Amino acid sequence: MYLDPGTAGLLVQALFAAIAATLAFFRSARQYVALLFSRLMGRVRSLWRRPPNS
Amino acid sequence: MAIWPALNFTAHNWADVGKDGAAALAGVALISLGMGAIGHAFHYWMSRRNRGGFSVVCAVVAVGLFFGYSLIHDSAAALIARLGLTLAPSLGWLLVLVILSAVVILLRKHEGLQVAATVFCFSAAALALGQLIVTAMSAPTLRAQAPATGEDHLQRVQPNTAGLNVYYMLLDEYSGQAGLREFTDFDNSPFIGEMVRRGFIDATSIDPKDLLSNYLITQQTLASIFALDYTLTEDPQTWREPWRLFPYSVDGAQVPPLIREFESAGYSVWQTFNTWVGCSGRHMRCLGGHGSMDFDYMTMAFVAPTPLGRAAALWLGRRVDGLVAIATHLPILEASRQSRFVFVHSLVTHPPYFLGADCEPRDMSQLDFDAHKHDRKAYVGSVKCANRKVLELVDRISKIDPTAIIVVQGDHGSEFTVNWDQPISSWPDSSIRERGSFLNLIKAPPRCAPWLDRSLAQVNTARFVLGCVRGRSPQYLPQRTYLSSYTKIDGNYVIVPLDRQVAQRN
Repeated sequence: MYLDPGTAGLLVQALFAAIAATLAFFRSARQYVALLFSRLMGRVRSLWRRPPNS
Repeated sequence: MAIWPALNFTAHNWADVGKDGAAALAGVALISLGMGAIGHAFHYWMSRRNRGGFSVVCAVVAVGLFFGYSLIHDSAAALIARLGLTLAPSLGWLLVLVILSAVVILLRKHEGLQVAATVFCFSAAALALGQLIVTAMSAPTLRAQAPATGEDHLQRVQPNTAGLNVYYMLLDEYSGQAGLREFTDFDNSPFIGEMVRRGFIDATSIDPKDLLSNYLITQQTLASIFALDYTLTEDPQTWREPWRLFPYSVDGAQVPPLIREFESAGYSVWQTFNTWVGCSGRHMRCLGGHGSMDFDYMTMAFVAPTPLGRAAALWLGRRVDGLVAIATHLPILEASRQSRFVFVHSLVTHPPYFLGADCEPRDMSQLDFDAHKHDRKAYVGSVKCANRKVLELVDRISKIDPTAIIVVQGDHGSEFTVNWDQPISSWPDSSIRERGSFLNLIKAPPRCAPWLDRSLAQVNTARFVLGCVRGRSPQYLPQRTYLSSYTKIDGNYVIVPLDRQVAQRN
């Protein structure tokens, strides 16, 4: 009975991390993600600041 | 980046991590801390030269290549074999190292690469952490606790100095003669013949011939030996009680029946340390090491895919084997006047088969933790090595202790034809014959010979040993074989009696 070193798990995680890293490698993709993120944050902020209905 | 492999490893082995507590992960944590410290020192040094970002890229590549060694090595070996070349598979890893180094050096000033490396670190670690949290949330109960009995231990009895000493050698995954012949094409009869010449009886082939093991999984077989009974049965309640499994059965609050019987007869009871269970020392004295196995074993498993893995497996696997431990400590045992029961659990015949046929360390690049699925040659080599070690040991024991009871036994057979993912109900006869085949050689004084009138599997062998020591006819139980797969349902083994499986299949 031997423990699983978890290589398969590392491989799957590395694959997804590599996709994220590849996107991050390109300036345009980074800018696009930054834009999405800032829009998302803006949306969250606007929700936060919305006055109560009263 | 440094903690990512440790998080992934912990998540993958969550159930086993719980067996001995978080302390078992100390080696894994130390390696991660060491890698992190080296990475940060390198980053600090590079930052002073305005190259901090580049050091992050180097760290990602270094950790990736370190933990990806086995994967790249095995892929290269498969590719080389397919191309019909004769090259060392480690060249494949070196080639990847050279290519990645060239890419990193060429793009060293590229800001994108540094951002990508940072994103890789955080993404990989976050994914592994997520997996760990999900696993921990879905299986929060880990430690198996035997129910309290209200009695701490037996009252001390007068040491017995006139009893028969017992050496119970359990060789993990050692098949019987029929199993070896049918599934590995290896004729083990010369070894059996040598043992018979030394006074042993092949207890699997008296009546009936080619008896099957009581269980097919080490945890179950060993627990049944110490319980002197079938601990897991068709009753689902028995599946849900982890203290019915080895090593919980010997490390829990209750003193197992076999140990209780020997202690009440004034015996000292010993257990050899190995890389699988270590030796807790709770109810048995330890030979060759003390404490939880999991520090050594988990560290060994953690570094298994790295370039250090094979060296660690060789070093730890050979260093702490039960047969080595008993051979080393025999003079100490002999110096003690008290009669003794010594339980030896050897992993020589267990994957990844550290030793070759002449007990030489196998080529590190050939060690394979999945060898039990395909590498018959390595398995047979390990059996030959075990034979040699057993013969040497038996001769030593017989010389100093000619009346000793010696058992050389397998806990189950090999698994080359076994598909563990297949439901037990549809296992073919051949898989049951292979996994159920086991070695069982017994040497006992002539006065116990009348009780060796039938084939004995593990539970009845333990009962025979006890009967022989007590000088009373053993109370044998009906022979039973319980099948089980490693696949657990709701965290428990599912046990199917052999006769029911055969009836269902027909």
